Amino acid sequence: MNPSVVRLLEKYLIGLCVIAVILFTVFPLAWIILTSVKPANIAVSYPPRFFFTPTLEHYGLLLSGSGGEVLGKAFINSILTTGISMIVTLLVACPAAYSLSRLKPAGGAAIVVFIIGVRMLPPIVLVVPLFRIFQSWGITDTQTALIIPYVGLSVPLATWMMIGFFLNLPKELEEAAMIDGCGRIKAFWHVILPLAAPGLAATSIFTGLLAWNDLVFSLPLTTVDAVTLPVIASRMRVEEGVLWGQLGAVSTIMIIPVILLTFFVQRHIVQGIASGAVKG
Amino acid sequence: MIIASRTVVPKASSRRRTRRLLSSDNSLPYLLLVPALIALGCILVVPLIYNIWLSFHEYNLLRPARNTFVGFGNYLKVIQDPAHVSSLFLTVRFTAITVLAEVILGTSLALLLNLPFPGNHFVRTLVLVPMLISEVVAGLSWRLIYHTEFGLLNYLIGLFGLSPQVWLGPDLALPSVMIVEIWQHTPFVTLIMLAGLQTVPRELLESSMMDGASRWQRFRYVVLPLITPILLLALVFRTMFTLRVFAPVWVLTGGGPADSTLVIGVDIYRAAFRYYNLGIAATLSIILLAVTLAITLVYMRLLRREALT
Amino acid sequence: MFRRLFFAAAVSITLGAGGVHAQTLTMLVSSGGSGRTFEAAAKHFSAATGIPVNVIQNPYAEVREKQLLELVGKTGNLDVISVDGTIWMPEVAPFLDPIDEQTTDTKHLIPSMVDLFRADGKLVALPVRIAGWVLIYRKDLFDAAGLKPPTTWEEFRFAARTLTKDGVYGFAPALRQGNYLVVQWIPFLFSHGGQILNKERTAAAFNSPEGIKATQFFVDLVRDGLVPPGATAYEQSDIITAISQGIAAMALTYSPYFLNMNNPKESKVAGKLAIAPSLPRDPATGMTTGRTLISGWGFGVAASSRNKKEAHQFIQFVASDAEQKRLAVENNNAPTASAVYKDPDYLKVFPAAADVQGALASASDRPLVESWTMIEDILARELSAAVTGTKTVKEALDAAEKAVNAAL
Repeated sequence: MNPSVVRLLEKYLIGLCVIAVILFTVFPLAWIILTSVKPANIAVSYPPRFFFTPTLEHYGLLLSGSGGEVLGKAFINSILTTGISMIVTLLVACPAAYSLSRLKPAGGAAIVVFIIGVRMLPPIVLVVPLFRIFQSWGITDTQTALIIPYVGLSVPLATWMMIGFFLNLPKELEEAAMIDGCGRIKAFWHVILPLAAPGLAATSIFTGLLAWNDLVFSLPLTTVDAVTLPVIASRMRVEEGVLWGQLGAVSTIMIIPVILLTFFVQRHIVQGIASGAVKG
Repeated sequence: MIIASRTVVPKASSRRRTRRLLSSDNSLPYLLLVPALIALGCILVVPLIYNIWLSFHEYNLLRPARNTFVGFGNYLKVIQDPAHVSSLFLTVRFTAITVLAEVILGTSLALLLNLPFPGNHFVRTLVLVPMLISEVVAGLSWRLIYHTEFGLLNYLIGLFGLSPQVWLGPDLALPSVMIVEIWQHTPFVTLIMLAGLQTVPRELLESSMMDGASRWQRFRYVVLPLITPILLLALVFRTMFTLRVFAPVWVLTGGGPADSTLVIGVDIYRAAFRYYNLGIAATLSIILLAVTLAITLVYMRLLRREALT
Repeated sequence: MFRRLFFAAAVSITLGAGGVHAQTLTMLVSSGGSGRTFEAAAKHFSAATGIPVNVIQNPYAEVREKQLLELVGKTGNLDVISVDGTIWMPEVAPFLDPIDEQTTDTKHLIPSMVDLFRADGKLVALPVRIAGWVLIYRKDLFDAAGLKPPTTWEEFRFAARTLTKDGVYGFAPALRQGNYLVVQWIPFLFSHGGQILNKERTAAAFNSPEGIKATQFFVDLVRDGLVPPGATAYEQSDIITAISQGIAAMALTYSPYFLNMNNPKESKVAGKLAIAPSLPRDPATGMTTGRTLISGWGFGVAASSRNKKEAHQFIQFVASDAEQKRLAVENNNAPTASAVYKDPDYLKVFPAAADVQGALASASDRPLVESWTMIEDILARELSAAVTGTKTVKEALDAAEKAVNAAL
C-alpha cells in the first residue's frame, strides 16, 4: 500500500481512538453536570433526555435561605484547608526528600520504607483515634483538624516524588552556588527549589486533590464551622434518594476550579513527574 | 522503594568525597528529616500503634465497660469467619484485575497522547478529569448511568438492539464496580506514564527506527525497559490504594448483592462505623497493611531484577 | 522554623473559627424530608424564644456515626440528639438526659410512639415524626383493571400479576443489599404472622413456617417478574422514581414518600395515587389486617450538653400539639400528636391521613436489641442472596438464623 495512504489511515485511527477515549472519560461527569441544569422531573427518566430547556433552579435551591452562606463558607474552608495542606506538605516533605536524596544519611533506606509503610494503614481507622486526640486539644470542627490528617497522608507520596526529583537535578549547580558563598540552606532555597518548580507543582496537585475531595475525615471531624465542599455534596443524599440536580450543581462548583488549575499546570505536572519520579 | 535501593548502594569514591565536602554539618541530614518524621509520627504512627493495641482487645466504642485484652483472639475470629476471609480474597482479586487493567489502559493511553496531534494539550487535560473528582460523586454519577430502568447505559446499548442488563445485579455487580474504579484511576497511570515517556531519549528511538525495528519491537525493547521503573511506581501506588477501596463500592452496591462486592474496605467500615467494633476493625486493618506490605515487597523484588537485566 | 510556621497558621485558624453563640443549640438531623421539617421547627422555636438553633442536615448513616462519636467523647458539641426509633435507641440511650415524666406532658402523644423511646423504664426522647410503611398504589390502574386495594397477599399477587404489562410492573420494592431490603421485607414478615426475634429477644424467630411463607412470597414476586428487573439494585429512592415515572403500580414504603410521588413537579403520575387503608394479611393466621412496620424520629437531650435546659425546652416545643400541627400542615410531617389526625386543617392538606392512621393502628417496630445493626446486616446479606437466587429461601433463612443467634 502507498505509505501516504497508510499514514492517512493512521491519522484517522488515532483521531477515532482519541474521540472514543474522551467520550468514555468525560461522559459520566458531563452527564452529572448536565443533570444540574435539568428540570427535576426529567433528571431520572426513560428515555434519558439530552435536550431540554435548561434551568438554574437547582443552583437557586442550593443558594436559597442560609444555603448561600453555608456554601460560601464551605468553599472558603475547602480553599483554605487545601491550600494550607499543600504548602505545609511541601514544607515538610521537601527538606526530608532533599536530605534523603542529597545528603544520604545512614539509615535512609529504612526511613523511606517507614515513610511509605505507615501510609498503608487504611485512613478510615485513623478517624477514631484522631477524633479523640483533636477533641482533647479542643480543635474538632476547625480547619486545623482537617489539615493535620491531610498533611500526614500526603507527606509520604510527596516525599517519594520529591526524592526522585532532587536526585535528578544537576549537583554542579548547587556546588557552584555554595562555592559562591551561599550556605547550604540558601543554595537550596535559591537554586534547588526554583529548579524543582514543576516537581513541586506535580506534588501539590496530588496533595491538593486528596484534601479537596476528602470525605473520610471531613464528615466526622467537622460540624458547622469547618465543613468543606464534599460534605455539602454528601448532604444531597437525602432520605428520599439523591437530589441529582443539586448534587450536580455542587459537583460542578467543586470541579471547575480543579479543571481550570489542571489545564494550566498540566504541562508542568507531566514535566515534573517526568524529571522527578522517573529518575528516582 | 526505588529510592530505597538507591540510597544504600555505595557510590564511587569521588561521589563520597563530594558528599563529605557538602555536608559540613553532620546533623543536618537528620535535622531536615525531623519535620517529616514528627508529622508522620503524630498523624500516622500514633494511630497505628493505637490500632495494633486495639487489635489485641475486644473493644467496642459504645460499651467501654466490656473491653478486655484477648491476645490473638480477634485475629483468630477474623481468620475463622468465612465472610472476612472471602472479603480478603475478593479484595485481592479486585485489585489484581483493576490495577492490571489500569496499567494496560493507562500505558496505551499515554502512548496515544504522546503522539503529536492538534489539541493534544486540551485532550490531555480532559482525560485527567475522572481522577479529579471525588469518589463519592463519581460513584453516584455511575449509579445514575447503571440504573436498569432509567440509566443511560441501558438506553445506549438499546440503540444497538441489545436487551437491558441489571448492571448492579448479582452477575454484573462486580465487573460494573470494577469499571468505575478503572475509569476513575486509569488517568493516574496515564499521567505517570506520560511523564515516563518524556524521558525516553529521541535519539534512541530514531536509531532503532534506522535499524528497521517494527513499532511493537521498538516499544518492547526500547521504550518498555526504560519506563519500567515508573511503571512499577504506578503499580505500587495503585495497588496500595485499590486494596483499601471503599467509596465507589459503598455508593454503588453497599457490598451486595449477596456480599458479591464486599471488599475489605467495606468490611472495615462496617466494623468500625456500623458496629463500633474497633477491635475487629483494627485487626482487619493490620491484616490489610500486612498484605499491602507483602505485595509491595514482591514488587520491589521484581523491580530490582528488572533493574539488573 | 516550619513547625513554628505551621503552628502559627494553625493557631490563627483555630482562633478565627471560634466564637459561637454560647446559647446556641446544635443538632444533627437526617437530610431530606425530616431534615427540612426540623429546620422549620427550629426557626419557629427561635422566633418564639430567641434561642438560636443550628440544625445540620447530614445523610442518615453519617448522622448516626457523628452523633455517637460526639456522645461517646462527651464533647458537648451537640445539644439535641436525633433518635431513629428502636434502631438507634440502644446505642444512644445511655448518653441521653432522662425526661422527667412528672413534669413533662406526654399524654397528648401517640402512646406506642412514646414507648419507642423508653429504655429501662426511663423516657429519654420525645417522638416528633412518625415513619410508617404503607401500601401506595396507582388508583387509575387499579380502577381500569377493576381491582380494589388488596386485603390479602393472594389479592396482592393477583393485582401485581394483572398490572404487570406494557412496561409497567406490579410492585416496586427496594432490594439492594442494605437496610432498605430489610425494612422492605419486614412488613411482609409481620403481615404473614411472623416475628423477627422471640419474645425474650434472645433468638431468631423469622425462620418459622410463617417466616418462610412470607419470605417465599416476597422472593416469588421477584422470580415471577412482577417487579422491575433492576429492583435488586433499588434503594428507597428508586421506588419513588419507579412510581413517579409510571413504571410500577404498587409500592410498600414509608408514608411521607407519598408526597414526593404525588408532587406534580417531580412526578408523572401525580393525582393518580392512593394509600391502602391497611396492609394485606395472610388469612390463615386469623389476622384481620396486615401488620406493618412503624418507627419514627425522636429528639433527646445529650447528657453532655452545656445547654440542657434550653434543649429540653426545644424538644418539648417540637412535640407540642401546636407545633406538631404546624409541621404537619406546612411541612408534610407525619405527626406524633394524636389530636392532629382529627384536625380539619390537616385533613384538608392530607386527606389520606385517616388511611395512614388506620394502617399504622396495628403496627410494630423492630425489636430493641443492642446488636440490631449486625442483625440487620446479616438479614440484608441473606435476603439479598434469596432475592437474587444465589440461595433458596430455606438456605438463606437457615444461614441467617444461625448468624443472628450467634450475634445475639
